Amino acid sequence: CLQVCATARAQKVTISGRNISLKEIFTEIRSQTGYNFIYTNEDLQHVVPVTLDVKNAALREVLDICFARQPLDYAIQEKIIIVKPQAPVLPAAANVTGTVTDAVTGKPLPGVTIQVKGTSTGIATDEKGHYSLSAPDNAVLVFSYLGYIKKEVPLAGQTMVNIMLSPANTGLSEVVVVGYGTQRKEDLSGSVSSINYDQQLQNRAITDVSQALSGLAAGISVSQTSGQPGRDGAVLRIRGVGTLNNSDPLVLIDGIVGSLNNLNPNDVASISILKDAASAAIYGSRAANGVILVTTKRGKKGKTVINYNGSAGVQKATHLFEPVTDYVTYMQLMNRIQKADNPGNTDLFKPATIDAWKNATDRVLYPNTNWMDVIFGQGIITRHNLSVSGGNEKTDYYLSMGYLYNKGIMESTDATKYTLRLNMDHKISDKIKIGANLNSYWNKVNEPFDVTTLLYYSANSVPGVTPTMTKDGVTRYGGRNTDDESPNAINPQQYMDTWFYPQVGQYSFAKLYGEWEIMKDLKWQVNGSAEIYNKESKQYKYSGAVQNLWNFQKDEVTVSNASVPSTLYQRNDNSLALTFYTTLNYDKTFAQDHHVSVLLGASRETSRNAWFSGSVQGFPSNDTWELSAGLSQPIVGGTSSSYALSSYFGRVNYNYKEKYLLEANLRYDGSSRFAAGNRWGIFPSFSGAWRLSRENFFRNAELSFVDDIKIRGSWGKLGNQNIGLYQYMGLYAAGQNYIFGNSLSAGLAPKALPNPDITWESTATTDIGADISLFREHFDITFDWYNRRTGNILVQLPLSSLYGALTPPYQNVAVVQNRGWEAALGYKNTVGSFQYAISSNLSHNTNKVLRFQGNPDVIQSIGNNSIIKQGLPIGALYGYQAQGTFKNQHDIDNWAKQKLSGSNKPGDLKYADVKQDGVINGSDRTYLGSVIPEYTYGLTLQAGYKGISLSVLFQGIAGVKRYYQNLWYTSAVRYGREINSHFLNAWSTDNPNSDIPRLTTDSNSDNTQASSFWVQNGSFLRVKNMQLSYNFPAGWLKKTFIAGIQLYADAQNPFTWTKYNGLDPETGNYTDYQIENPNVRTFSLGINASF
Amino acid sequence: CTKDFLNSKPSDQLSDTNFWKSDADALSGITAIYEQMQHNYQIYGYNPMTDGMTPNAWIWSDYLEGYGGISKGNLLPTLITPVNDKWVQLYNGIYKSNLALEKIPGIKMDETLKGRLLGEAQFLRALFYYNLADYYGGVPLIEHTLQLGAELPGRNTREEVLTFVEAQCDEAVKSLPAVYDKANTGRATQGAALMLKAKALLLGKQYQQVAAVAKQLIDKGQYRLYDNYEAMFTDVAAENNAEVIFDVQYAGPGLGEGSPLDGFMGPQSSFGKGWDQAYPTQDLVNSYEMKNGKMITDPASGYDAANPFKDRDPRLDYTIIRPGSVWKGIAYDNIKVGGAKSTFIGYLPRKHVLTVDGFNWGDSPLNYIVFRYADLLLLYAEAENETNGPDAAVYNAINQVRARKGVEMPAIPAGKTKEQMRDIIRHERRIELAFEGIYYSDIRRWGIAKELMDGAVIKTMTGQQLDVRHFVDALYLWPVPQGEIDLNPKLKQNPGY
Repeated sequence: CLQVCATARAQKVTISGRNISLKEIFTEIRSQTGYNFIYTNEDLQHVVPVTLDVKNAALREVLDICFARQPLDYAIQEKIIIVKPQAPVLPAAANVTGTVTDAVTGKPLPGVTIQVKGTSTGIATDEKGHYSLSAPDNAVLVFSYLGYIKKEVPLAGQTMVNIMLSPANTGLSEVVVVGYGTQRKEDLSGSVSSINYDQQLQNRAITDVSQALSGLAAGISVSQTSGQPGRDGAVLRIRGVGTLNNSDPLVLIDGIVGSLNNLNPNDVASISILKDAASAAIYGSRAANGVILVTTKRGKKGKTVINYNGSAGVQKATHLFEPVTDYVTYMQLMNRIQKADNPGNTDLFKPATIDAWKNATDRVLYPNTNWMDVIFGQGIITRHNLSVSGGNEKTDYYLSMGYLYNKGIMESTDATKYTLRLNMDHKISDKIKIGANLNSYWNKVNEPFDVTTLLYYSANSVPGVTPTMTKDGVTRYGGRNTDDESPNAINPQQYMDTWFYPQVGQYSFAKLYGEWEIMKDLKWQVNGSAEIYNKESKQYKYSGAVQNLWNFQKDEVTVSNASVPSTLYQRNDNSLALTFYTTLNYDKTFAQDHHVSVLLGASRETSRNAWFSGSVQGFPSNDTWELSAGLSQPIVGGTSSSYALSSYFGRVNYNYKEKYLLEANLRYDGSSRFAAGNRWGIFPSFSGAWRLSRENFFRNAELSFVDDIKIRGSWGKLGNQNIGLYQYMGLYAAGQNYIFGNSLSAGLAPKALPNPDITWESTATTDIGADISLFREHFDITFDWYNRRTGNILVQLPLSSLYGALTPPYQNVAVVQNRGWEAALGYKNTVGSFQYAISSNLSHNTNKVLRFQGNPDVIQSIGNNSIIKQGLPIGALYGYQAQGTFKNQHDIDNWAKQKLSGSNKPGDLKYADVKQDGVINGSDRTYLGSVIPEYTYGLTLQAGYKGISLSVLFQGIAGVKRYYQNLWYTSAVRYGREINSHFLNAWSTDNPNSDIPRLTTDSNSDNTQASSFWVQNGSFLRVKNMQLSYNFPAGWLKKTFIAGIQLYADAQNPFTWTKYNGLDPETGNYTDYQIENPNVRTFSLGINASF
Repeated sequence: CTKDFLNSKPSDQLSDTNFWKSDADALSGITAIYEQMQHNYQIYGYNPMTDGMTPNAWIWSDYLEGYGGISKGNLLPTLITPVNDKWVQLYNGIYKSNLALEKIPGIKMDETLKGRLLGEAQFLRALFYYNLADYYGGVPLIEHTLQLGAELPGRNTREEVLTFVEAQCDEAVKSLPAVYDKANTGRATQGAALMLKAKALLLGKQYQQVAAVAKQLIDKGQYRLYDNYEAMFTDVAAENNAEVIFDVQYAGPGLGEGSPLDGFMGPQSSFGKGWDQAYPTQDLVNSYEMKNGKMITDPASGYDAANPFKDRDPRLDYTIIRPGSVWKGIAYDNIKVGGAKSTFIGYLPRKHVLTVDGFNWGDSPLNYIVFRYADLLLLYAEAENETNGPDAAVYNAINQVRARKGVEMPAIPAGKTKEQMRDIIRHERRIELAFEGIYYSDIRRWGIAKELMDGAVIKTMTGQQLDVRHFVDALYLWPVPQGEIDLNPKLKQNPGY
């Protein structure tokens, strides 16, 4: 079993084979190099056979490998290799000792090679990172370890040298996960960002992996739009917004389509973001919005490692609404506004009422309630993760358990999640490997009915209502405490206490795979997976009997809800997704310099979703929320649907001397979402790269500070099919019933016009980039320019009624372009025991709808403030250009006639007469800014000194606008509704210079129209994460069973700088009804220990 | 194998590939056309509310149907409700009919049933086109379903549309039965098709032909006046009586098959809490004759202003709730529950308003009568008078209506001129058919809407002014919806918009 490649007689050796005897190797080396060996047979009695796989290796290198485990040593004299017994290493001779640890985690590093520079003397650290060796006083020790930055330390007489090695995060030899495989980073010709999901990320108090991506990679925008437990996954956009339909990237977990939410953040090993068409095309029809590849941890050969990581922390809202909470101010303001609206109005609040509050001391009867304080408080987050991993020659495994509990900042919201994972691999033989990934979780999310709705309702609250009071042991909810107040003022506490929306999810995932090395260089892999998800959601509401609102002053019920029945609505969702894929991999080097690898594959995916729901009313008790316990009005519903995707794909890589790299991908996808003739799509991509640094001229030049320069270019076409199912079919909608002879007769007719011609949206992406590494890998620079054009976007064009007044079908018509550049820069260095690293990224993107419905003037409104229009970014803000307020009647008379909703008064917003026709109406509305950020950036600073390390992650966006107007922030006040304190500075006769429009009870005034007044700068810079950790010195733990302990303090979102004064700049483009739970700031303390 | 793998079909809906296979499918497809009349408010669901655009009634709100606004002259091509909605819903009905007419012939089924179903679809399609012609004038005649990308036609003339309606009625009469068994009550009959033909001819002012068709239908002897005028519009027990030629069927409660009329027109004390949208005007109340057949303005009528409801045409009390009325056992004074709205004018409609409890808002089981025998008699009288003058047949027809049991108004005295008789017939139509959604078509058809509506002042019964109405010539037809013109530039707008 010895395989040899004949080469010219040089000092280069190529040998490959298993368990070759030393003698055989000697013979081979002699024939390849012409070197002779001198040895005695006695010397070779105790040797062990060697497994070798070297190509064109230096002779010394090969000999080092051969002699590494032998009781022998060698020396080269002229062309003779002398083999001799090793001189016994005497403990006394070891004059230098020390420990090698990881600079980031502080954990000991076993297996680090320590070599005395210029000699063959070397040794490796033991399992606790210790080493001892003998070296001359003036020697230089070289510490090297795969994946870490090499370090040279002059001994200068020291006898104790403790060393920390920094991981080489951006190292060229880093292996990057790509579609259906891995590649060395240096071999990549596409644009891939990889996130080394290291310890630091695992210490963060995040609840969803999507949150972890924030600020760490160029080209990805992450916005967490809600801080509500269980609903706090972030929205991810790769290189802008690609389509008018769903723009979520495709996520694959260990090769299977999935959701980041299904993962325990602690199980993640690495994340790759495939940004250009070249890298993503292998996923064809679903890759147009980018692909995120996640791999989970696997066991490593060696000693069993037990790891525990746990933390506990507190949460607070990053920002809350600021209503007027002093009821006297509120009442006076309401009176003033009423009078200003109409001088004939009588005061809503009588002087006696106002005085009563001024003089009162009893704040139950005369409250100044800050409803924000009632609704929001402090949240809690607790995490426990335990993992066990290890393995031997044949089998490795990774086993983990996770627990997450998050009590929300809003009272009565919380989420609990238990996760389990087992990943294992087993070698049946040298040629056959099998493995499995099992993942499951159980979670429960509690919230009051619907948080968004609750926050919307809650704006109908006033400071004069007391949340609760207990009388005779019974909790009573406050209503208006004065007859002057509107009976519509609600009590949000009562909603939180009596409306419930618990959701329980059960998730199981299993993936099995087998791999067979059919012959050398040719591997066949088969993968199958099943994902099952069950979710039970209940929405229940106590009967109105406990929901009465009281006037505490009069001790009487003001609003009786007694007749409202208790109700339960329950819905069970279940889904099953099956995936099967198989790949054939061929990888070979021809004639030394031509490296070729070929991948062929096929995949099948099916998914079935079903739901069943029931509702019933009239429950005997508030402890029996099951459908069977209800008494009346039972209603049921339910259905199921399924879809399938069938695919064939392939990839060819070729490189010449690792200098010129070429790659081509092809995917052929068939989707059940389209009609038979339009089902299949071809998605090709091509990319190439040139490693300048490998050219001889480059080597010879005085450019030794350059480690690597690579120039890349790619083009490819991707697809998108994110539209509803069955859109191409003519479907008959039921329920169009009629009565004949007094009994019901079923009627069916189409409600929509089918378009059998619909097919894939297709995105063509061109990418040009460069990867540069300088100064012994201290500096890393990556740059990319891209142009991403999505055509054939599926849009529902309006349809003449002559077709039958049917819902219009999707048609492949619109075109959207995203164009931009990305740069990432990293620098790391070590000064003595102090290491530091900086990594930063900056992305620029411009988004533009190139074609919408064919007519450049067509505007589609999204809500009342944003539009889709040819030539503008998707979801562009649209409205009037506000130019301050009318200061007085004279101002109004001299302005264009502005009559949008009614007459104008001083203090109203004045809008620009864009058309300059003397009238301001709908046609004077203009583009007010984009909600898609122009710039996205991130900056990570890391520093470590001995066991202490600190890291700070900054994240931000710039060049973005947000629309902010909702019931909590408006100039339209209403009796029985809160007033935002920002508007205390509004225009009034006493404050005539203010540019904040007058407060008015007229909810239809011009001022609440969509205008630039409500548009704010959405740019922000935030410290997304800050972490301080301390590793116990390895020396202290030497005698214990503990391998490492780290204590850490972690802060999420501790600081934010922004001009936006809405809830949180990460949250979206609000409309009146979309008021999300605020984002949170989390401080936690944790411990990470290995055994 | 791959082909099947990717052929996923919805499990809760039928598709082109598995529908139109059996007689059950054909029946379901036809049922869906009938449904169009019922739920889609823009066709017949709200129809009596159109009296709000005539001197009969006043709608206080400018919202909802937009009828209040139209009565004040606010009728724009961009109005979604009702201008766009009515157009859209009628074309939806036409689409369902076209689809059935294309698909049913290919089904293997009983040929008699097949013929009947095709006749029903022809009738219903004609009915939708009649409505389009009535409101918009000429519209594009779409006789087949269109595929995406089809070339869209411009407008046909009103005459072409009406000719199509008439021809389709002739076709339908051939396959429709005169009557149905109990289980099929509500389906289109020969009578319904003849009545629709008469209506279409009347809209086209083809009086001689109207008279002929109407006489043909009257002479069948199948229909007669029902004995209880009030119950015909308020009592479920009176449904499908011998006077009904065609109606929209409703049933309930809780079937999703109820009518919205009770909800819109009922008072706030109604079980489902009515919205009392349409108020009978003082003008309508005043136009009911005295029991002796004289108008209250006639000094010899015996009208007592202090006791205005005494000795009036009984149809006043059958149609209108007025001071002194009792409704659902509730005295008029207590009907005004719920504040200001109920007191706007002082009268409330009685037709279409339930008198029994047990139904939610918008779920009234009362049928809406589209065609009835009294309408037929009066349009016969009108056509005969226009053709041959006030002959005996004219007197006979109108007097039959006045002599209905429980109404029993004196006969029209002989010796009227054609012009006098024309006015008498118009007046009789107004009274007999008040709050049935017919008068708005009549006053436009007669060309008197401008005279009646422009500048008319709406007052409360105590004389306080509430509103002033406007009508310009353009309003005789509604505008073609602007959105439709944008999508099909071949559609030309009606004059004046």
